[in-house]
Amino acid sequence: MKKLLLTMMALSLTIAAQGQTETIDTAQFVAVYDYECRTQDDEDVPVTDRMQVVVQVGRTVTKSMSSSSYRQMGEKSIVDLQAEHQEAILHMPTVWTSWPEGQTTVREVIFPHEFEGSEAIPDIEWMLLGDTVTVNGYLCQQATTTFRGVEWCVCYTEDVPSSAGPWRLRGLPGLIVKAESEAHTFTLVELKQERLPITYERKPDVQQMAYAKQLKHRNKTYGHKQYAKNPIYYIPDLQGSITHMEVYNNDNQPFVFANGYPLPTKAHVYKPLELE
Amino acid sequence: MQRLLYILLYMLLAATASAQVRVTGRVMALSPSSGGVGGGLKPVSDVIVKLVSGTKTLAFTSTNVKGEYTLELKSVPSEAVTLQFNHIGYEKESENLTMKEKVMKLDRVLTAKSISLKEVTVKANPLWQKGDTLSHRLASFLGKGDVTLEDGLKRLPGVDVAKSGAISYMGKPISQFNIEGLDLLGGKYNLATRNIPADYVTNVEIVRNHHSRKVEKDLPSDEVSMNIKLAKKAKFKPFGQEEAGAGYMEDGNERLQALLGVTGMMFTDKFQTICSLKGGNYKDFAKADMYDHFSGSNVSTPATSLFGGFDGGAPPQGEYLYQRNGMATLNGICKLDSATTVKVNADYSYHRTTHDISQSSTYLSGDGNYVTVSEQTSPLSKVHLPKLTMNYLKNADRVYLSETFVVKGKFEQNEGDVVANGTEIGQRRKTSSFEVDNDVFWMDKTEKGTRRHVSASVSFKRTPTLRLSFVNDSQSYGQTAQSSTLTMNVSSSFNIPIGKTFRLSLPVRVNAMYDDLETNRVTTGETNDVRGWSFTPTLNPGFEIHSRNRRFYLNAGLGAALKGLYYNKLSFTKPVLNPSMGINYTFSANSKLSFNTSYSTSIGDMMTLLTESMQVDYHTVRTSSGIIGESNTWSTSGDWKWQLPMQYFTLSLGASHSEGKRNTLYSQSVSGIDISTSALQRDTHSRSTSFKVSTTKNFPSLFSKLGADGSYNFGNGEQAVNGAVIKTHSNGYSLHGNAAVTPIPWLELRYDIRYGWSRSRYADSKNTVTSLTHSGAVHVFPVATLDLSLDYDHVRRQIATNQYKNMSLFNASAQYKLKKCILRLELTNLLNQRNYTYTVFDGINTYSYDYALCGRTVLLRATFKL
Repeated sequence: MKKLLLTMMALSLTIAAQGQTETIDTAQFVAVYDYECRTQDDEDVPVTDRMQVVVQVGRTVTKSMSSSSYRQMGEKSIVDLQAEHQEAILHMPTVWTSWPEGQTTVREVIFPHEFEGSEAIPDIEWMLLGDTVTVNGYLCQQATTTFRGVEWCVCYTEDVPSSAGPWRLRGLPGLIVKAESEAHTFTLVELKQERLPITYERKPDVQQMAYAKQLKHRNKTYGHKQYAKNPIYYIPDLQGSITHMEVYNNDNQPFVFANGYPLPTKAHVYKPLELE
Repeated sequence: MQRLLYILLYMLLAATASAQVRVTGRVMALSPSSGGVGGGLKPVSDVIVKLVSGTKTLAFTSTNVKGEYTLELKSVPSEAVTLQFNHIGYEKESENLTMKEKVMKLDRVLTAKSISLKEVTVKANPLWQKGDTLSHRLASFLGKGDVTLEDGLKRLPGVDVAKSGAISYMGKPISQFNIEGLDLLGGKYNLATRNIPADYVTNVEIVRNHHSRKVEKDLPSDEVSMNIKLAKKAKFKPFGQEEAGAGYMEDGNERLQALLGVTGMMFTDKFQTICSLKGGNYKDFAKADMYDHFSGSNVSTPATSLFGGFDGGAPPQGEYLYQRNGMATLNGICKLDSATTVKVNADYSYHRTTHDISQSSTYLSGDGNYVTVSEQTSPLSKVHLPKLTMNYLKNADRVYLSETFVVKGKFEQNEGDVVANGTEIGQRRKTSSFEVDNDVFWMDKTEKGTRRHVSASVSFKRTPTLRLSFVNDSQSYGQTAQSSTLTMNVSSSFNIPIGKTFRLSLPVRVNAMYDDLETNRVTTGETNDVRGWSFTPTLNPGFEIHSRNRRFYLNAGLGAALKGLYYNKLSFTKPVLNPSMGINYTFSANSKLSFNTSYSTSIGDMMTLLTESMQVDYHTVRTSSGIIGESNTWSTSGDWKWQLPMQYFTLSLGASHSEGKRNTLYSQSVSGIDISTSALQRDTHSRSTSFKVSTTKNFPSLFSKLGADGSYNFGNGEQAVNGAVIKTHSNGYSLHGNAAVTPIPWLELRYDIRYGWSRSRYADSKNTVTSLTHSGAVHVFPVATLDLSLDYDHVRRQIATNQYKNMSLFNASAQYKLKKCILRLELTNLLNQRNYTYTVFDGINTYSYDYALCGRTVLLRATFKL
């Protein structure tokens, strides 16, 4: 029964996507980060949400995505689908840096739609600090910045000569090993030479827009005070907006995909990675 | 004037600009298609271009898609600088620069290289926190010699596992033990912790502020529970272990030692079972697994409580019991849906224990003199404990329904022949008891948050016959007793939210108990026959206030009750008020302050109506006063718990104080070697205060755990000896520290030290006792699978004024782990230490004990994974 459901899911995802995947670069290495978001639940009780972020670093393009999106390249089990559903609570977008040339592309699902915004690669003005620390076995140097209203303190290592980092953080003279803000932490946990293609999927249904507009829409939607109590408060006609739906049950924990996207059933207070 | 200012400003800017240095250029690489032969150059983006002076980075940038870069410096560096080109896919290049020009152009061609990346995999976090749940990745904490889940639990931060197997977190005993979310074993969780291999468990979750009923999850809770997550290899297929061992005790009552056991288990999403059959005479094998940390398999009735067995107590160190234990247990739980389970636990155990003890008791008699009684005895007890429990549970967000049926029995025989001051006296006791309980609990929660509950429990306990017989100089005397008790409890409550921060609660409870107790002192013919009802309706209207973020919580109740005793011709009714109040403040998931205060009234039971004398043991006759005792106690306690889970640090502080008043006074009369006790009608007061602190800190990278705790207490009370009232005072403190350290991978050290000091005083007499206990263990791992260990216990105890006794016990073991089998050779009591002596001051009496310890023992045991 599970196999049948998975096959159906794979089919429906394929149909829903109807996209065309193109290879835009080849990963020179892959960095895996643990991501933590310190927030509160709907009753204001402090909670820490976690997921993993995978960064493929190519010669030109860097792609940062959730670990379930990275696994999507292979076969997906029900456990992977459940993980993907749980990750949706953290709103981690897929970010292509230097794709298209000189641009950053950010793609994310704000149920029931998928959005994609582009802008010129932002210059992040880092202040290098003289301090050195050892993080996960790497000799690192520290740097700080304020990026889009959020203050970050990061450690980077010149042992890995790449200006890449998790999510949109980049532009240092070495790979970012740890990045911390008041509510968010990225920590490098794995570095591997996995030379898989870096892909970009063209989807006709994705709503394209300027990134500034997408950011405004995201912060307005998730930043609403109702969001933590009712994560789909902004969809007045939920039934009407769903074209197809799959319900899974793993270990008696049901979860739902609608229109091929995780349908959020619970949420925590939104902690934006960018404010402005 | 303005123009002049503009000119000056322009000149200043120009001067500043002229101080800036700009380095530009383009980075290219040989295109693979060109085959490395001239001309085929392509731009390289994302090359890190750095201008450094020594180890200091003066400026950096990265190339764009055209391979172009621009570096700017605000001033010309005085020292020599180097321009570095760095890219993961190309050889590193650098160029020493002399910054003579303000604008420099430097192009560079890089050579491709095969990427040689230092691949790293950082181990998954050993500890995760999600709200109140701390999830420990067990493998990160395990030591090389660890075999069972219990071995692993001992290493977790804040977790303490007692010798009995009882688990506590930050000093609080766990109230539920789940395996994959299901409570299969109740309080018998030793069956799991001592039989599931540590490598079959992936995560150990500690749930703070645990709620056993989901409908109450919005209420504050002080409970802690533990949930075990199993590895894939432990799921969906049966597994287990078989144990066999044989050994020899050099000196002692049982020379040949043996153990044999088999345990099977299976865990699926919907069904779990653990079944075990064990037997042996080696230490507490086959007994330890059956320890129930929550309720117990014991059956206690008024008759068995009055006339207990001839137990000689236990020394705090060393093996002293000669035991023969056997047990069989079947446990199964079936998950009907996501919230409903059906569970059956069936147990049978048999325990035969004996040991040798010499005891000297010094009692204060009425004329100020002391009477000393010396006794030597070897109490033997044989106990059969069958038990069957069935439970249906629905534990959903809105409704909770639990139905539990228990039937259990206790069949025991005791022999306690004693030599008292040179005279041999025979003691025999035989009794059997059984108990049947049924308990129903229903609670629901409406959409508006109103909670209602109804519960009813019925319990029937009976001891048909209890027979005590004594023989002294061929003179026989004895005692018989029988008792039946029927207990019924019915309760109901409403808990109604008013607004968002206030709740009213109205619990009502009725407790009714029928007792029938008969005692007959055979020699004198004195008989007690008490039967009747105890009836207590309770109404406890109260309220709860919490802040909107639920950090602050206050609850209070009135506790109005009517206590009624209706036995024989006695009719006693008294209304009482027992108010209580609790305050909790949660600073964060890791820091919590709680304060509780309550006033309680305890009214005596039918035991106080046993006015005819009863022979409790060969030299003790007990008579109750016939006065309905009443004690009122006011208790206050405060606790602060703080932890930094990610730093593996826990700290808890606690203080408590209680003051009590009774309308009766415990009185002791000594005549010859006979001691009789009774109660006098006189108000007595008692007071006690205690403070405690405990802390633990783990260093996972060093596989080390440190812990320390301490406590201090003082108090006073009153006693009467031969009619004279004596005020007693006591105070004491204890300090405890422990460490488990792995300084190098093949060596593990454990150390535990405990120091205790206590003083009791009355009139002009003072007694002080100190004790120092320290134990240590050294584990050496010549290879990862071989664990050689030596452990010791050293005790220094005061046995009389200015007289101390030192004793050391040494044990050794060798353990070899194979894929499917673990072989273990144990050597116990290497120095063949045969005695343990210590003294206890109990207010006005002094008791000195000398226990015979089991002799040197060697045992080889094999545990096979099935």
